[in-house]
Amino acid sequence: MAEPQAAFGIEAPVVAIAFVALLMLIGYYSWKRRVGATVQDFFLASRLLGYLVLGLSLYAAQYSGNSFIGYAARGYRDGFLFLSYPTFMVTILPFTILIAARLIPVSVTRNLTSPMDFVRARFGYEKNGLLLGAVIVLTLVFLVWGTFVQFFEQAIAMGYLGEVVSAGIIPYMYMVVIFVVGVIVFTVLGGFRGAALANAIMGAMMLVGLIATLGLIARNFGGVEHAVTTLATTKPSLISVPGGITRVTNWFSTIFLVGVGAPLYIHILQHLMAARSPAVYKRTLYFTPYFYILTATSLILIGLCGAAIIPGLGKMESERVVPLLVVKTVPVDPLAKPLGLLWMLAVLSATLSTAGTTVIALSVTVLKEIFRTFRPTASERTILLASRVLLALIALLAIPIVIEPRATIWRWTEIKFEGLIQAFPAVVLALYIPWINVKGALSGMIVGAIIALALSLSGYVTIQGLHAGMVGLIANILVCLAVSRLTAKPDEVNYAKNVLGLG
Amino acid sequence: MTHKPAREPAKNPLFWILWLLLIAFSVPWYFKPGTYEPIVAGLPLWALAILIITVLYAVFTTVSAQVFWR
Repeated sequence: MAEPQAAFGIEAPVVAIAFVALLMLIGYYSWKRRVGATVQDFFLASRLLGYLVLGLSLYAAQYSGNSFIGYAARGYRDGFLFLSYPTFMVTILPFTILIAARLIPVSVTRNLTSPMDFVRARFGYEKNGLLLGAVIVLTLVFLVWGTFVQFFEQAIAMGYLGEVVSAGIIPYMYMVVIFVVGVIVFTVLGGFRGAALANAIMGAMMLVGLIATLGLIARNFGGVEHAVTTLATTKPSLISVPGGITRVTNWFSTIFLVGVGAPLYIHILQHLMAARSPAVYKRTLYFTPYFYILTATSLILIGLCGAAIIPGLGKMESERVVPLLVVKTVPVDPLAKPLGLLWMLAVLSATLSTAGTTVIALSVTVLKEIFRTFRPTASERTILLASRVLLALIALLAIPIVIEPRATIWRWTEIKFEGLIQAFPAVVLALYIPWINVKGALSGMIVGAIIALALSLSGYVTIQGLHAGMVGLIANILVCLAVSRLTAKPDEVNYAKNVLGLG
Repeated sequence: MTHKPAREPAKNPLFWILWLLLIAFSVPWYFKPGTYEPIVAGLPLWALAILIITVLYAVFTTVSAQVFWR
């Protein structure tokens, strides 16, 4: 429940709107002057500032409102059991490296710009015909699913944030609608035209806000040490070594679920394909892994402090724990308002950068496929106009799901990746194994999706700790390899080798 | 002109071995279940150990991008 009195007055919406306006101004300026308007600009800029901006921009794309609100909430519910979080965030990076090492060269030689271009080229062997269409549609479904859930998770996070910060003056539902409409307006007005620089600023804002929040909690309620001592008596399970094989399997399963899944977001794959050269991306790895660990660990610790300070919140109630903590400090600490506002801007940054990027990637990718199939001669202008309409439709489609979220943000994250990872063989394995063919990829994805869905719908969310989607993925890979092995023709393999530059 | 990298992580056994080891030890199966003591630097030792391994994991990521991928 929200506190009875609004912790922040009119300054909260004023600061938020001013911040968004500033971001738009920066975006507009950098677009107009062509200063780092696109990600490519930064990939091409081989200066330290270029790496820093690019790294912060990628960081802002991977960390989002769902992490700042929902993952901290899981820290509240599960304590150190959620120490899988920093590990799975870091695991995203080696998987991204594996993808980038092959995808960047192929994209350059074949002039590909979106993951669907790759799938079309990779399985485009002339005799594939309808099967190629099917593999494209199915891969697109998984990629869109993951990216779309990632988008609406942002709306859920903003709903909780707005509701608690305004002490219920803006109810969750209204906040969701305001956010979705805001994203549409922001995007259509061109708020993401100079997105790379704006995203980087948001990334920096996120780091600052996070440190401010931890400081605020430590100042007022004692730090992590105090929380650990309290929990040792009140709820030792939150800080104890997890027991049982199921817990251990689930921990591993979570690492792979996110590690494999997160590089497959459409916008992340597009970032990589835009790189043109791995050099700059490699340099961002000088610092991004440490940002990831710092952020993930801080969020768990904030959740854990929450468990010591505000015990007893129910499952859905606990989703509001971070805003509740911040609000709790306001009456007692003069620094709480400015630090709290910093934190609010951090969440806003995390949410907005991800929401904008995902919704644009979704609309452009889907439209490109539709136009290519039905109206290949359409002009750029028509496509651009249609993409704005589709963008608004996609964003609005999120509202009915989000109004009553039914599950915690963390659960949505699992469901999101369980679908998204089914594209792994068609997108990632196909980069490495030339004899994977269209029949293998297609049958693998179908079997994987059916298993994941059937298990989830019949209540088997995990099997011995293994996520339903991971069980599906294992079957998916096995079927893909077996069917490909049995059906791949020499011509087809040669074609794939040629596409992959292995010929 | 060839765009194929001269060296790539997937072809290096050391990359896979280190990666698997780091993931394997980032999960606390080797600590006694149900305990939280001793507490070191304000954190249970097992949690601190997992965090340290994760930092090593991050170093591995930074280094392997430079060393295994040319």
